[in-house]
Amino acid sequence: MTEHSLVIDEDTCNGCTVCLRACPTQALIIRNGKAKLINDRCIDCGECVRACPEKTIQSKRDQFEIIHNFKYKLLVYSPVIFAQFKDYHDYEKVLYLFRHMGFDDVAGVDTGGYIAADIIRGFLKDKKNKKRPYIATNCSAVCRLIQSKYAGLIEHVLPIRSIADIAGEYLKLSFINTHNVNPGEVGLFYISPCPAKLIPARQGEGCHNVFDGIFSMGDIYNKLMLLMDDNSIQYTRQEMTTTKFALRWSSFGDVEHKFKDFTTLRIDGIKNVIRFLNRMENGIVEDVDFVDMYSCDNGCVGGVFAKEDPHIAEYRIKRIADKFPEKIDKTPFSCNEDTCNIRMKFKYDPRIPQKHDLKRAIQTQAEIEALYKKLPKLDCAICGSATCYNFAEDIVLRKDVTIDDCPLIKNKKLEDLLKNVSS
Amino acid sequence: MMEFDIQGGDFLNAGESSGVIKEYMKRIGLPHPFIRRVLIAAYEAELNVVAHAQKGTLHFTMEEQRVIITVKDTGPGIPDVERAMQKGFSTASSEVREMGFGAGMGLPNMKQNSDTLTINTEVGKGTEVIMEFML
Repeated sequence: MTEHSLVIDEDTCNGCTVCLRACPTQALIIRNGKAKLINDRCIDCGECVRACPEKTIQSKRDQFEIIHNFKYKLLVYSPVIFAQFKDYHDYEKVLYLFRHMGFDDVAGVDTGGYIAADIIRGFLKDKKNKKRPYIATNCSAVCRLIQSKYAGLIEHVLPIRSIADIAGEYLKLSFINTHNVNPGEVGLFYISPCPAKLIPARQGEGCHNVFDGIFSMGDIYNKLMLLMDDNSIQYTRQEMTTTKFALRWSSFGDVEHKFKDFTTLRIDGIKNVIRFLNRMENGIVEDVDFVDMYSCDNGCVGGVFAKEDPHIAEYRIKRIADKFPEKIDKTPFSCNEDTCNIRMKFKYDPRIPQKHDLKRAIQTQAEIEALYKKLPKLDCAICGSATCYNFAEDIVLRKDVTIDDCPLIKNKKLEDLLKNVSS
Repeated sequence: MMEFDIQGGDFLNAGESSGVIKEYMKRIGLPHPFIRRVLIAAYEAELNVVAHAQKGTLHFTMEEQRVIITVKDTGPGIPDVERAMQKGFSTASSEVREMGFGAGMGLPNMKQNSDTLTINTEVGKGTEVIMEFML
């Protein structure tokens, strides 16, 4: 059973079909006037959350209070949170407020960025690898899309964890080592900018879930706004160890700067990602070494839980990043493949069960195509399926609709009937 | 089962038929390495028509045990098939080569990725390439 972060509130859903058109994987249908999620197709990108006019589609996330279940509380934040505040110095306040909220130590996803960069460079340098381009694992929605629909591209995916996971591994191990505490007493939490990262990416074998709880950035933003209004809080200066590149990479996917001697691409927006994956699958992407893809516009700054415009957010992150060096010589705790759980094996997870009965599969496909030919191909979605093609599939495979659920076909039948009876 | 027209010189749209064939093969659940073989060979065959001929067609047939791709064109024909089968041999014009095509890997790639490759060609009339992929 596939776990998803998206939940549809049937009471408020009015069956308007806006989400059907927004969904890049046709994972939504409307039946009996209510939207329903098709688990096998959903990649948790959150485009439906953005599109829903009734705010009926929400994300399951952990409640903040669960941090109190642990003696020691650690937090990994996405630097995108800094970009939600206008003032140049507010990132320092935010860092302090994380402590104020009860966290014993914090690290940005950017920390994972500068740890991962060297490992990725190692892969890029390895001339033996002909499976170019490598695909980064930072966007959970992209990972799920590849796992569920692009079996042929699995071997292109870098076998290392996302930079958020690496930051988590690093933070926890360095805290345990420095303070000599029992790992069982340490709770590790994450602030996610999007629904995709609210649930652990199904990364395959040998990968445990790094975090004990994941919060929505929107919830934390609300908390921070209230705290910032509280004049009684005495701020103390917080140090942040990071690099210019790591902040930029972890916020809006700027990889070009770091891997200058390789051809790297940042692709943002789920439609662009799908177009690129299709090209890769067709075998016509040859001259790229590394591609970092994000479901949201402009990378994580465009996350569903971000309030600020993604391009303003990018500008703000750049301004903060400029304060930090290009390189840091030493991390306080050495995080590498020996000490941290960085590697992972990425496996294909076909959402559509492989049809072993090929003869039947060919027949079924022929039925779908034949039905599709009869449909108006307007993709109006009034029938409750996202496109006419999906409608044809649903008639044949899901069997929860019939061709008369198409309003145009039904109307035509009624018109014909009227002609017959009146002549 | 599926037929596509190929326009000579239209590099812009070359590969569109491969995309449709790919979706079909994914939908009926064929194994990916098999899909990949068919795609590479079909794309090369299509490109040959685009690079050398005026126009042509690509037929895709799905049977229970195999896929058959037939590409026909009304092009110049291949005077020496044996030579054309050699890696690196190409008669593509410099224009075509400048576009990154015509590296002389077309027929070798088609042979390598298909189970049987039949070429019927007549100089001045055209070429028919039949490729069979066994499941």
